[in-house]
Amino acid sequence: MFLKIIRRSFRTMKDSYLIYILACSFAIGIFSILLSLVDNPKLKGDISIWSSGIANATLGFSVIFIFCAFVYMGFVGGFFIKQQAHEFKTFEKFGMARWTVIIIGFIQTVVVQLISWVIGVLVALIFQKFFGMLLLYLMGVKFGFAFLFTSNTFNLLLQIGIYSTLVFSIMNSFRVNRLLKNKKNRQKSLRLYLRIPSGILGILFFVSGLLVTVIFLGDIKGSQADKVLWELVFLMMAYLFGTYLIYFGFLPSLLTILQHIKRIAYTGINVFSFKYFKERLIRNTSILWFITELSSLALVLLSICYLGYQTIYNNYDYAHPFELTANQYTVKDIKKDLKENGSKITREYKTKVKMTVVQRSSNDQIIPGTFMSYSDYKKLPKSNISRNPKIGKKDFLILDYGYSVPGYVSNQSKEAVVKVKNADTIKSNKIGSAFPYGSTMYQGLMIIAPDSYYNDLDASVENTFYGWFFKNGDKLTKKQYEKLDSQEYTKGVSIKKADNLDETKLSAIDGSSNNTGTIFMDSSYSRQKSAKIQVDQITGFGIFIVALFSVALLIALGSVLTLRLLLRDDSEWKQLKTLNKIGVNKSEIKEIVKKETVYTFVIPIVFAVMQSYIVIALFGSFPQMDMLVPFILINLGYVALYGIIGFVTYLISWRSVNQKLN
Amino acid sequence: MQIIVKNIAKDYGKRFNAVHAIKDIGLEVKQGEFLGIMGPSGAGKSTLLNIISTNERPDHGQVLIDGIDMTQLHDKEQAKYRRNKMGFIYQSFELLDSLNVKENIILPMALNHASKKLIEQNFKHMIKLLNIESLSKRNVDDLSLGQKQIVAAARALINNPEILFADEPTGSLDSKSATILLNYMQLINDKEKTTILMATHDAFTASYCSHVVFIKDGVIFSEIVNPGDRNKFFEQIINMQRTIGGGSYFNVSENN
Repeated sequence: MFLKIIRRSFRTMKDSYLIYILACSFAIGIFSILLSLVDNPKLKGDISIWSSGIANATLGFSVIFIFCAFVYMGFVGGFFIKQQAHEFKTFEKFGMARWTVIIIGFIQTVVVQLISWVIGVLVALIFQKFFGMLLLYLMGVKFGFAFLFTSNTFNLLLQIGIYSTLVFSIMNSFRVNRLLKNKKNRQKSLRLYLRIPSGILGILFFVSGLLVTVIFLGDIKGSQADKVLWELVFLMMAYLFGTYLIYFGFLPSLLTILQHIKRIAYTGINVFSFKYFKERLIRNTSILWFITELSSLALVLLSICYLGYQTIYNNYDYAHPFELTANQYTVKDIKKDLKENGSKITREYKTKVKMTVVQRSSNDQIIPGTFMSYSDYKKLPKSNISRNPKIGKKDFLILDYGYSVPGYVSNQSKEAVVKVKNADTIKSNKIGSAFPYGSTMYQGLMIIAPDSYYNDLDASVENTFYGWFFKNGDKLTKKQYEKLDSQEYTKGVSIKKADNLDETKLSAIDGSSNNTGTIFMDSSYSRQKSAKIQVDQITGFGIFIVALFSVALLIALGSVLTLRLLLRDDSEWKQLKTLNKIGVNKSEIKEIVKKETVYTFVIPIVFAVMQSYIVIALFGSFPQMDMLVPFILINLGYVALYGIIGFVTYLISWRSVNQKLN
Repeated sequence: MQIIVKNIAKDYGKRFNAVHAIKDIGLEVKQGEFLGIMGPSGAGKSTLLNIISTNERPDHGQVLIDGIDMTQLHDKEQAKYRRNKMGFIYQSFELLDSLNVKENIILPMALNHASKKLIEQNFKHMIKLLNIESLSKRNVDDLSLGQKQIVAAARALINNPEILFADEPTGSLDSKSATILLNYMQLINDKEKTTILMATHDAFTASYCSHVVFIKDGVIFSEIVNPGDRNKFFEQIINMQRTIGGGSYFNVSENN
């Protein structure tokens, strides 16, 4: 008997169960794959940064992933119990003991959860190699991925699967019990006296949120930290409450108003559809709100991830403009190695620089200043200096680390003032961050000075930078590279501060000797290839995780909306059938289903996109990055995928309605 | 509006589990006729009514309304025909819970894109005629069964349909409400010449018809024509019920 009832319930809601099981299986599958990657010995052995950080990050992400999946399972699993409310109550009316009905709910959940886990683990077994290869491809690693599922991973999955199945089944048993206790079907009333003011308040909150976003954009550029923090708190509150109140108050009130405008309401199917949409909206308020906010968060996070990715690549480009860079201390060894290896040099550069003590006026910090003449600067490859402001013969160009200097970069029009030991103070509004030989080769500021200024400058230390480009790479062997690596940060300069800048001394130092004063060490060489490997691996891993989370989030949000649309209660089904009986044709009912799907999917995404614009304001503090185009592309991509889910939902929803009408 | 039903049949279920709801029924309903369809539960009354009203398609056979074969029409055209020419009263009322009384009644006119003025005018006329003015703003859930059926009747009649289909219209009503509804149906049949097809197993309800067909096990068993005297007609119906099945499964109303 139990099995018959359970089988019948699966058959009648097969579309909904299928969507739920597939969504759960996907989440379980991805979780299993992530978990199996953590202790994969090949990854540990062949990728140096795997053991040092990425393995733990993978474990962390898999925990976050399964936690989110459990929230989804706990929340959505309840839909099916709610859907069977009428049936469960009828069983009880016919004399079935309450505990028997509870057991039916329990067994249903056990079956669905177990099927999800079995399919999920099978998905992991089948696709582990694919995802492993994808991860290695994205990380730029060129060895094959070997399939491996350790017994530890299996045991862990088995335990998590059994415990979570029990927990969700018990949760649903409680839900059935609560459902049977509530004898009356609680209909959510309209309460216009509450909804109209709430709706107005919601609109005010939301519009004020949009306005504050614009103000926020201005303040964040002006670096007004206190104001920015308060504005951010206000924005979060305004959007969270505003969106909820719009769903709770504004939209139902708007539909009520439309319903009372006879010219509109008494036309065609509107007389029914306004009320139908309103009822569905009131019933799904929390879900729509939840989806709006999560979508908004997803869009913001995706944009931030892209910014992070861009920042890493920018830093990499700034740090390694040449394939190989050396200074006077390392050039001899490097040239010898290149000759031995038969490396084919395509372009070679050499620039003399002078170093002295300078003082930033913005924070009075005394630091080393490396000077290069305008003529030498102009001889460098255009790609190395193109990101700096253009200068003329008599201009000064100040190169500084953009992100860490308050008041330097955030306001580009501001003039930078730099005091130089025993030389004229430099005032310039030409400020850049693209160090011609890479940012790791310098300490402090680099200043491109007019030739006359450079020639007159009394240098405390002199150095020469070398840069090379190659055909087919530098061909340095691992041994040569390790030898070079041992020389990194062994040379530098020391500053002994005095009462005034002119008496402050800068001297070259060796890492092995005892030095006093403030010490600034140089990296002495910079190799693009070794940095590129790490950057590729980290960003590849980032893309892999972000892509998995994004797809999972889209599936989760999409399936919640799809299930809410599919799971109509008895009275809603009856109404659609009645309409058909009294002469509303199927295409008109299809139109109702279409409009309902469009509203359910479009309204949250519109609010989510509007809210996510906050991220553009946040990016205002990174003026050197143009994030508008990527932001638009991220939004378009998200909307397109979301739209596909919406379209599929519409097809499934209409299919189920059509079946019922037949 | 003349209705001709030719050799229709309808089965439910498949192969060995098939139930023959209607087996080769043919009948003719003249314009302005008030036809009663009687028979025990499961005889096929509702199925026959649903097929004639195009809510279901027969497995074979034809339903000709004013010469148009309704079985050959597309779903969309059938729905349009139902909306424009037909009205429906069901035992289970089939009112839309989400709409109030007024919205339920005006729904067929709104679907037909009638003008606001005409909608209001017909609505006022209908609620006055059926004496339900006080109900117009109430929710359907707040009505008694009798009130619900009167509202369903108002919805069926607001469009001045040419054919009215009533499936056990008095099944959920008390005798007083049933009499009001039946008198009104007779009135529009007389005055508007509306063709009415009513399925019932209540002899008192059937006695309002001009002509009653009896169905048993999916086939027409017999027919009786109203001689003009309702009491006499009622006696004839009762006698036919006894002939068919000993009267055990027919309701014999005490309102005679």
